[in-house]
Amino acid sequence: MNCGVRRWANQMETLVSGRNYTIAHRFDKALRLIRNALVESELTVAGEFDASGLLEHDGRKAERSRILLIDSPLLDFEALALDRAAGVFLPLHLLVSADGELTQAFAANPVALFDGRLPLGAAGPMGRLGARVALALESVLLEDHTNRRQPEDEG
Amino acid sequence: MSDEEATITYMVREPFEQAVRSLRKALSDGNLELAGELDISSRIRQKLLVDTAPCRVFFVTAAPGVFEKPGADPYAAALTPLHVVISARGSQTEVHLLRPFSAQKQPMAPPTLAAFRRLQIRVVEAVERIGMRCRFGA
Repeated sequence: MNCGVRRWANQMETLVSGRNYTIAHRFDKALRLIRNALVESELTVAGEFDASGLLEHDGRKAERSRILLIDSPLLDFEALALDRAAGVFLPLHLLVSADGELTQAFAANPVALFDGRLPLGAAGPMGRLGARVALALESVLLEDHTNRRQPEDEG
Repeated sequence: MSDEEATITYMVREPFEQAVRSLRKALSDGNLELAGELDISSRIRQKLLVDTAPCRVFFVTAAPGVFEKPGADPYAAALTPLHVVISARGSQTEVHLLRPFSAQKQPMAPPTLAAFRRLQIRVVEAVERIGMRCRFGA
């Protein structure tokens, strides 16, 4: 496979199975920004796990990483209303890991990862949860971009 | 998308709290660890003031030393700990799990996928000690 095709295939895989965000802050600050953005999007961190040492970036072990379990009680209620099996996919996992001066955030899209039929009534709420997590993460990137531009604009 | 259901369901012929205890023991006997749990029905009751039948999610990992670490693949960390759902159904209890990945679907690097499948199989074996499979895909 040539380089361009491989890159395209990797990008497609990312779009289908999850989204990766690079945040231009060190781990602790990025984690704080992500938590704030989730709260503003009315999402809750239902739990979290330390995943330090499990992940690598460019062959280097990520010294610090956390898995945030993200949900919304209203979307949980909707998803579980017809079939409790939907809980297998909830809450959503957001992996946040240190990458030197940067932080990587990876939101898996479980709907795309599993090829089976989803529990009845689960697809809609799960899709909306994924979209809200994506919006929250994009707001972190946008705020960061705006903050970086402001001094230049003022100058 | 396949016609098979993405999840598998087992029926435990015990009331909810007793089934929760049985499942904890079965997982522990299978060298699996509970990394945490989430009482979804309580959360819904607290936040929405709606009463629903008891439902919890167990977050299950392999006990240290049983499997190698998932490795460099972000999907592994995004999918583990594995979710096991326990929900009341009248005087009995249902346990829901993710159906193991099919051979065609390979969302992770092969070593990661192999470790993830071993975890899934170990969880299925533990659940089968206390429950009977009750729902099959089309």
